[in-house]
Amino acid sequence: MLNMANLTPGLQISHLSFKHTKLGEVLEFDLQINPGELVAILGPSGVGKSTLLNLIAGFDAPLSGVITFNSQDLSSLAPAERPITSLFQEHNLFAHLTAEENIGLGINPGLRLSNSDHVAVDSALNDVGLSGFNKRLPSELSGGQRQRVALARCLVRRRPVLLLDEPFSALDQTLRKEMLKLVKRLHCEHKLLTLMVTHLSDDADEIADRVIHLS
Amino acid sequence: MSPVSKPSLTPRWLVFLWPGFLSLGAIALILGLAFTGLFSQIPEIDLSKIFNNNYLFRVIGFTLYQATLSTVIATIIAIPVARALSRRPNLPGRMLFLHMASLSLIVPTIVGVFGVVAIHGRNGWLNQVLSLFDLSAGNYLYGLIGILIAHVFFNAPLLARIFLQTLESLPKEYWRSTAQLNMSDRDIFRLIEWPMLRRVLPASCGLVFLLCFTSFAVVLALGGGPSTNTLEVAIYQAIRLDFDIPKAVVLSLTQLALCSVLLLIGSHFSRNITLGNTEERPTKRFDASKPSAIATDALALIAMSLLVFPPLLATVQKAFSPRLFEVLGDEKLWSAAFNSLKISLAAGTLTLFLAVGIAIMIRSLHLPSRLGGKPLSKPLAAITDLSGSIILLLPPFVLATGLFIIFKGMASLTVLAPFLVVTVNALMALPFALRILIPSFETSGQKSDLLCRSLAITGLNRIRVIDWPQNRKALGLALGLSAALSTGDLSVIALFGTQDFTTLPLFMYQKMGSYRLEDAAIIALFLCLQSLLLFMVIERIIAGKWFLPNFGKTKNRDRKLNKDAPHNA
Repeated sequence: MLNMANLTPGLQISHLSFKHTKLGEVLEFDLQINPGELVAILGPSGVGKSTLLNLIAGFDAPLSGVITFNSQDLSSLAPAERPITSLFQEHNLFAHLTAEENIGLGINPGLRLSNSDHVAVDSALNDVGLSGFNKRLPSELSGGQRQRVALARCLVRRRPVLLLDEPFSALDQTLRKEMLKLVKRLHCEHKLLTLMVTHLSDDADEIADRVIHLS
Repeated sequence: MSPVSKPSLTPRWLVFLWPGFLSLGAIALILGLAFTGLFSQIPEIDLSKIFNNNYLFRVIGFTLYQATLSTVIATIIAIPVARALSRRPNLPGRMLFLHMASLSLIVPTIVGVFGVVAIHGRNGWLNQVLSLFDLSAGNYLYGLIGILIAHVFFNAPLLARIFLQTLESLPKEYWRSTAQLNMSDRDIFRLIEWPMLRRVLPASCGLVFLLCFTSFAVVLALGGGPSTNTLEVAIYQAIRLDFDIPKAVVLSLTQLALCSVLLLIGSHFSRNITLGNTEERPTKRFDASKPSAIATDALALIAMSLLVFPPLLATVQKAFSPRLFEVLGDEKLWSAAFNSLKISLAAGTLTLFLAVGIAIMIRSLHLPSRLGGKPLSKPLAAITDLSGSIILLLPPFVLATGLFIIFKGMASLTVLAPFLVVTVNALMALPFALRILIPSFETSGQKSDLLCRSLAITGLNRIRVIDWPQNRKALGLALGLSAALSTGDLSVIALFGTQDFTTLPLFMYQKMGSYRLEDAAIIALFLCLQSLLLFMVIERIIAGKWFLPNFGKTKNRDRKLNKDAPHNA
């Protein structure tokens, strides 16, 4: 079991290395994110910002190094077992499923939803400002609305860590500011640990408690 | 604002559409002649004779029955195989399998049939293996079972490839989401994969159904009796055995009517299927390592391998017999091979001309930079597309029968046969050539139209500098495939072949008919090699790829990476 003396709260990444299959370079990361912190990771394209998030979420396997959350080692856990939920830049929603179904998948992966689950979906939609959009297909939503639905799914999953990978880069400036405000609000209300990757320093400054530059 | 294009004397639409009108005119001429021939026989038809003995209805019933069963079985096998391949991008032998799957388009039907006989025949591999345990599956091949085995042999890999393409077109985020959401194997299939596959199901299964519905060589060789006749074979027998042209016309018109109904039911089939190479994009799927996934995938892949590989292996094994040199020394073999070469080159060239005209026309009608969006463009494009695929609606025998009736008074069969075979084979390959050329032409037009207009690159210059380099790969593939398809075709030639005029597939069928299976195996191998070689040579010459050894590929990739590296760093 855990040694209480070594308990470090938050997300700890130490000597995490990864070999980029396309570039052949080895990237290495060291980070410490405190509980309740909203951290933006900034850097030009190609430095491995997204790779870092993929490693934390378990979509890529590291060469070596350790990732812990509240001192629990995540390395051997499957993506679903990690205390993590992700928002990608696009394709977060399954195009053939309605907004409601896409969110419902976050509650039950077989989409077998009880009445109380449907209530939870409604309240999540309400939380992101899309009440009544239950039956819309992704193609009937704007880019911003799609990301809101995806955020709603992140919320119903009730995971303590939220990873955002260039989530609003495809949106125009006003919409982006609005979405950033929403993220900030949800981050505070749900007491999340949030890590956002972006290449826009404005966005980073806008909401982050701390900005980390990767180069 | 000044107009973008210069005013010219010829109307704009004519500039864009004349190649298409030329192709359509040629197709219309052929169809017109064929129909004149068919309809000229109508007064001779004695309907009471045909309807009296239920023969027609029995044939229709069996044709539909076997096509339905074949399609259902091929689909049921293809879906798990496509899933297995989609979540295992690094599986050893995956590329081999994909190549084999596209080979089923190129392997001549009669060779596939031969392979199936070599495995499932009375003395086939299966019975030989069973006899080791004192068991016997008996003589199950001839009849419905044989037809189903052969149809599934050809079509399951084709379907698996189309389904795989569909699954691979899904964004990688989907698999990350399903992993994070903890979706089970069953949930992923039920909620993600099946809804996606269902979209391509009508088009792809419709195509396979039509292929089985009009299948000739398989039923001719494996049908085994009047109770298992399809319309296509019935037409052949009416002409070739009964010399009853009116009966053939009734059967032809029935076939035409049924195919039209089928086409209406599955309206835009094959439009959204492109016969391109699958994009080799390694997607990591997290559901691949679950035990249930490994079990179902292994089962699917083993079943498919047992279906596809043994017939091909058996053909090769049988070909290396003591009779090899004797058969290779046969003058008849070489004259048949030479005939096949002439026919395939002529038919391939004709296909390419027709296809290029139609593809140019369709791209002009679709692209907004040309005539796209004009009131008549959309229906005209649909009609043009349909005309190119008319052979799927109007099976080769119907066409050949009509043309034969028209010309039979004018010249002897020996003179006519090659022309009829070339014309019909060219139309048979046309739908496939179009599926390759139309997307390629459209993309290249989309990329270059506005740029060319602003730089005033027009006419021959445009063809030389822009269109040729951008489309030569597709042109090579289209011509190569058309020539290969014509090389292996055993349909019209079975109708019109004579002692003096045989092709390799017919020669092979004759050997099978006289139970000279070793000879047939050798000819099968020869036929495959000729077809494949022709395909490769044509494709490579036109596409401008020369015969580089294979390791050149990886070298190129390394060089490209090094060039890109500083860019990304």
